[in-house]
Amino acid sequence: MLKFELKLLFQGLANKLAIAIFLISGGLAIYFGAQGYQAIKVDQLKSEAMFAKEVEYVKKREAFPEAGSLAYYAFSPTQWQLSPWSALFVGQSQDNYVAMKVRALALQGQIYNREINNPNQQKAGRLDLGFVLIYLLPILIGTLCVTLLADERHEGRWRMLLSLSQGGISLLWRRLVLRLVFTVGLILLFFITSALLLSLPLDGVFFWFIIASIIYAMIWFVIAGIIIGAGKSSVFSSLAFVSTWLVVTILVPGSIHLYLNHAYANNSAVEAALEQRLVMNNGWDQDKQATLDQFLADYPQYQNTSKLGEAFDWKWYYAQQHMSDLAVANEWNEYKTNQQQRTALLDTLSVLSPSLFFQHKFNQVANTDSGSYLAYLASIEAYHQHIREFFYPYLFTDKAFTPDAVDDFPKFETPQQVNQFSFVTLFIVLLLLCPAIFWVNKYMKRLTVD
Amino acid sequence: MSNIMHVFSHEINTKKRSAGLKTLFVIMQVLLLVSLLTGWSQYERTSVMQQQTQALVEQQWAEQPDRHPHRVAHFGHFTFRPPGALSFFDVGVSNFLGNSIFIEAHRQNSANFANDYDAATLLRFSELSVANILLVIWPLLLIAFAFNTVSAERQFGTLRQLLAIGVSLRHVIIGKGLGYLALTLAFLSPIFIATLILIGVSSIELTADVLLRVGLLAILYLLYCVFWIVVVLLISSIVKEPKHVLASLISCWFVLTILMPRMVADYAATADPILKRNDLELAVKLETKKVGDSHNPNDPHFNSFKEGVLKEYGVNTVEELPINYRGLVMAEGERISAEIFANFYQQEQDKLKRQQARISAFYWINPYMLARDLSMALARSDAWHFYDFELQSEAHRYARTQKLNEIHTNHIELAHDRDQKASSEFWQDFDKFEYQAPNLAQSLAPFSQIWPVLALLVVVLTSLLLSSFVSRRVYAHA
Repeated sequence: MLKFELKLLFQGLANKLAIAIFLISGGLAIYFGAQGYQAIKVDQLKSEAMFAKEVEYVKKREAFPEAGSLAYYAFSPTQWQLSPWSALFVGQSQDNYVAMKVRALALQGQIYNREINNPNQQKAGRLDLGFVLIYLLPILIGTLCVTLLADERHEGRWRMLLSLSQGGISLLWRRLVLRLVFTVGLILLFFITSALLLSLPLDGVFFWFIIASIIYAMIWFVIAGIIIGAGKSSVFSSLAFVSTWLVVTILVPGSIHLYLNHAYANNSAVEAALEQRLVMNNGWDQDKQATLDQFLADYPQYQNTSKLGEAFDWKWYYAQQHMSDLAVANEWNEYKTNQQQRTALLDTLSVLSPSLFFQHKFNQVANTDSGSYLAYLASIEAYHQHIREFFYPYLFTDKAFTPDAVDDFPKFETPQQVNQFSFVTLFIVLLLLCPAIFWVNKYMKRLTVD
Repeated sequence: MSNIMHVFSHEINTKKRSAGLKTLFVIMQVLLLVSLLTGWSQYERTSVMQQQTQALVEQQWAEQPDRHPHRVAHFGHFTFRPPGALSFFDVGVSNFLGNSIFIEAHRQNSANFANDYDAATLLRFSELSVANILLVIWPLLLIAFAFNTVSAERQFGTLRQLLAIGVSLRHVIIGKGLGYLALTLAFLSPIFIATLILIGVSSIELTADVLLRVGLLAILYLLYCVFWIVVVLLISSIVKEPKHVLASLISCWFVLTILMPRMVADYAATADPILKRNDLELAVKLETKKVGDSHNPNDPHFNSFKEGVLKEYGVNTVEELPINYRGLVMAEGERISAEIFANFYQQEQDKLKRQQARISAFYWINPYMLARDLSMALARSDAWHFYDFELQSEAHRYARTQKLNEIHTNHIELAHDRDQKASSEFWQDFDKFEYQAPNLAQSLAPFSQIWPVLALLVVVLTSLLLSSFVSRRVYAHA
């Protein structure tokens, strides 16, 4: 019986083709993802190594530079901490600046820098495992399932199957479950292959991704079940399934994007950058001591620093840089808040489409979504502060700047981003699915009358 | 001829009667209009913002007080990228690219402030622009409308009747083809008329160039739709059962519009990887140091440069020069680093061209990709237009910086160089950044050889459709 059913599963050009395309796409996706991830790691490690070399060089220099001059040239590397999961769910990781360099000058002149990206690749949408699971898997499920009943009817076997004790609806269910099991097998195959290739730890995240993928697949089995239950022709069923796919994967996310782009159009980053440049440069033509005094109000521990003379003084230079950042703090915060609100709204709106919901969740758990990038920017901002404050004692007090002091230069350290996942969400989705499955069953029962 | 017209009007009437198709048609029209209007409002907003901000930075430049020219060189300037005039029709890759570049001495900065927030989650199929709806969604609807046009007639035996009363199969197919062409025209016309109206009421200059682009877009999309009509009729004719026709057509659509484009893009990008920003900056830095380090007193390049200058003016030391030697060194350093950057930039452009060549190899089997790329080029929203902006911006940066170095050389004394200032009058005399949008020929230059592919493909497929091979198959099944 099972052997016969399995044979049926692999029969027919459409099924064979769909399975082959799915497997090839999955393989390519893992390959492209691993390549991209590798390139990111190389970029980050190289930046760090180059910086370490520069530090060694500086320490050995005969004429050891003064603190202000060194701070000017110290472009310190940072890294967007990405786990190997970002190879499978690439999110923003391949396009954003993952190894930004930052120095003690105003943050506003640096934080908006972008990676050189490949816009054609971005527009095409990339092939990662996330794409294969979220967008291709439904098509495979549709191909395998949606004409099950219609084909039997078309061949005139349905009436006969109904009369069998193991036939009819229960046969239909068995076939659906067999296909679900087969799909789960493919999902496991992809994840186990990826785990071996990328040495993914077999932890909660690993099981979360597998269970989430299975639940997502079940959603599409339910959709297929509903369409089967409608008892229409195979042509109608196929069209209904493709239309559903189109709405869920393209039209709903596309519309949400149009809406979000419109609602959160915001120019505050450009305004911040323009204003900061003006404030910083005007500082050269204004009362320098006044600027320094303003700065000292923020950093009272340097209150006793000597007054500025006629000559150029690095301590004024860095005070001025910091004050220009502060001058646009409002715009900068507005920009960040705007992005955060946008992400929050996307969290809510993503329930409108299961594909969008799971795509968003997958990217979030893999820490490759825009929210994670914002967190990276926040850690750069914090690191920038460490760098500035590392130099301040050498600029504002008599503390001598020596080659040994360079050893204390702060390193960019963020706690490895934890992949935040929750089985509760998945459980809720599963709970919602249960009544749907019962309903599909009841709905299908109508068909027993042929 | 009358047979063709008969089949044609019959086909149209059948489609008109179907309530489902009518509803879909209307929904799609609404969707098109909504995306056109949102695209347009984004275009207007971006366009106004870019113009205003460009004017603002020009004003900020001119309002600078007396300053040392090298301070002005680091005050810098911004160049803003105006959106392509038809980017509201096809937004292309604009959203993935930065809108403005900060230009200053010694450094080639990245184009910042892009519109790609959440793209990795929301834009896996690109934006819901008019172009994307026409390129991706309309073919699927055409398939739904037309897949059973020949096969169902055959299934119900009406095809045999038609042939029996002496209507030739070719006439049946031409009639049906014209029917779907009419449907396509009905689908495309409103959106193109709306596009023309928007151009009329908006700030877009109504030039022959723009109108020609709209006309070419209309022809492009019509040809693209004809391609799909021919494919649908062809498969509908040679495959026996309607459900298999549908399955083949949907597979075809899926592979051509969803799967292949992203695989090819990833393959091209992996085969000729471009340098990341850190690598490019490092390469420029190392190469510049190799040629000449102006900070190094024993640098051979700058030593011979100095000798050359001293000889030219017939003096022994830089202090005796009638001009400021430091300005000259700045200018020479700028020349070297800009040249090196230009070389690397060209290398990267060559890689991108190789990527493009890999992608265009697939145009022959995938007209979707060709139509997509031509449409972006016509809308001035493809990557090449962005690179053109980058080049114009870099040229402007170089000219601006060198002009400042010239002021430094001629109007600042070498002694106590840093303590001097040049008069603010100098800043009034700089050219504004005015982006020169490429004309039609420049826009289409990357496609000069390749654009006839689509027309050729349509001709080949149409002749195949009307060939005796297909007729024989249809007769055999009828």
